[in-house]
Amino acid sequence: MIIEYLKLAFADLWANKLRAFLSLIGIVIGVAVVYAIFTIADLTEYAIKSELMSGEGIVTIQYVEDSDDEESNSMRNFAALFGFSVGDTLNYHFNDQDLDDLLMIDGILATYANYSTSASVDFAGNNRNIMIKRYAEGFLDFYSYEVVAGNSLDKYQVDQRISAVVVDKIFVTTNSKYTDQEAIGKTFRINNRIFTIVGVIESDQRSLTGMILMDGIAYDSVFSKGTMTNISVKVDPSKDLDEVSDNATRFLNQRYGTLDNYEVQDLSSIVAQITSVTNVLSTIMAIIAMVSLLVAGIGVMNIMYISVLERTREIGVKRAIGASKSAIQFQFLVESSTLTIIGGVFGIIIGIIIIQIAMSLLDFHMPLNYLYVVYGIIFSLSLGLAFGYLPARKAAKLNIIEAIATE
Amino acid sequence: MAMIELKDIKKIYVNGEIKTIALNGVTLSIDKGEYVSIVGSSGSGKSTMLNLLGLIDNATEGTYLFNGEDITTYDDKQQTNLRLNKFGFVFQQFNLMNSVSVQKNIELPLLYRGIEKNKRLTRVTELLELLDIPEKLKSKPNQLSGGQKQRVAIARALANDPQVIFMDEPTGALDSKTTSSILELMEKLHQLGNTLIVVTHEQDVAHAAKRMVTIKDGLIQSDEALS
Ligand SMILES: Nc1ncnc2c1ncn2[C@@H]1O[C@H](COP(=O)(O)OP(=O)(O)O)[C@@H](O)[C@H]1O
Ligand SMILES: [Mg+2]
Repeated sequence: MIIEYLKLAFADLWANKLRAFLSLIGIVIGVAVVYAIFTIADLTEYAIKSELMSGEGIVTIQYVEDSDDEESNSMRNFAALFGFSVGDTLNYHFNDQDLDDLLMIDGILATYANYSTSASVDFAGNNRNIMIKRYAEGFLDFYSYEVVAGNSLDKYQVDQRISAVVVDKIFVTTNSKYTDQEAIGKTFRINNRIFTIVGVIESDQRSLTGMILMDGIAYDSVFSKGTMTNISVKVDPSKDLDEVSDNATRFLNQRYGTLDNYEVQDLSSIVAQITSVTNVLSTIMAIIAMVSLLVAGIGVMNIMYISVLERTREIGVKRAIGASKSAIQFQFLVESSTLTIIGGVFGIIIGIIIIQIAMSLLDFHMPLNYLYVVYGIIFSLSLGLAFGYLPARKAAKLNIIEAIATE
Repeated sequence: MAMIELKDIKKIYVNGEIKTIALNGVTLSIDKGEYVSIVGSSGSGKSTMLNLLGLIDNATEGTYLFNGEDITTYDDKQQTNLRLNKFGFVFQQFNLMNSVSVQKNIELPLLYRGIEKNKRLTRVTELLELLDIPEKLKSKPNQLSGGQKQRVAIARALANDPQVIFMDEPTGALDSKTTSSILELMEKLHQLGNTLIVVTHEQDVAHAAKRMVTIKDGLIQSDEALS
């Protein structure tokens, strides 16, 4: 029965191609934008989630310059999300003595010096900026990471280590189509030196494009001199994490005579930063979407009114031979929602294309959320029902005799 | 008990200041299986009467009994149900949907009753057989002659096996040769036991019926049995 109505609706839409097409454009734009908004919100969440994962009970202490410059702060925070450090790489704020002394603080089980930078890497046909970490023995233990393919760098002699690297799963999957096993033995260049992947680890390091672990000697020679970026400390799970990390930062601030430059890396500021950016973006897009959907909706309503007007006689005849008011109303609602669903499907397709292009430009990959496709179709359906309601109601209420008498 | 009983029916059209009395107290009863023609000059109130009988319009005054039940007070839903299940309506201008096939046109009343696809097709085939146009199932109405179109319209009216069929000038748009073939068809439907009420201003059509009701200025002037 519904199929029959759909067929009738299609026949009618086809007869009014141009008009239908014009009002579809607005729906397509509107739905595409709404789709993009949802995906961007998701993207943010996804990015933040990957960001927040930095190991159970592990706190990272960083040095932050005195600065009222909001912009540079947010720049640094944003860059940190993608695995880059901006600004303070040339400063030396930590030394090996700090690592040992921090261990004296009650509740700190282990300390680890993070040296990291980023470099452009050609791998499997992709050129991307990738976070590179200086590897030292104990790294895997400290972060509780596991080798999922190949070996850890510890298994190699010092002279072999110079051209060997270990990468994480994220690096393999975001940059190539290789399996972890296939990645072993593959090579890439950094600053004209060739490195071979000897192992793949499972990591939850905050990085969206993955990371490369490079032996200390190699790291220092490629990047001229290693820079200790920050210190991570592992806190005894039975102790209060905040209290222990407060003690650690107070210790460093006292040692270096600073007020509060040493601080625990607090990701909530980054989260707030990104959220505020995407919120502004989403609001602007939402306004565009609302306007184009409203215009399109009115267009659909207009088409439906014309359709009712053109078929007044047909409606009268149908009523005369036994069509109920609700059957007539249903017929027109099917027609208007068919129109908006067609628009919605095109909108979703265009939305997906836009998001895919944006993600590949940003070097960022997130799986499609098919639920949004379903939402998009339901949304288009409701749009058709909402804007088709008044015309459909008008059709249903037509006076039968007058309708039949219409030419 | 008569199938149809009109008691003192009045219909007054109001257009702003102008009031037109189309029916001025009509009392009439029609039995099941009758073949009645309603005649009269243009503007006498024939169509108005048929519209009231067919429940596509409502009387201003009076009572309408159908199978003994007062349907004057029926609401829109109840009236729609009667039109769908008990009445068939044929128009002078055929009023078919030109964008869809003959099959779809005839199926429409079956669709509104929620009859399933296979049964609909069986019924449509059966009707086209009865009306001698079985080969036109998939044709579009605009590929048909006037006589064939009216046959399709009659098939649509018959689809739900109605108790009474109302026809407003069914041959008004047809030439005389086609008219007589439609009259033969109507005779056939009458023989099969259908109740036919036909509005016409054509003498031969009026005399094809078994009973002729003449209207003048909204009043029944004569009501005679024909041999
Ligand atoms: N919708 C209407 N509004 C006003 N007057 C009408 C309307 N329909 C019919 N009439 C008038 O009612 C009278 C009867 O019309 P009608 O029943 O159509 O006559 P017939 O079918 O016998 O030609 C005529 O005077 C006609 O002008
Ligand atoms: Mg008339």
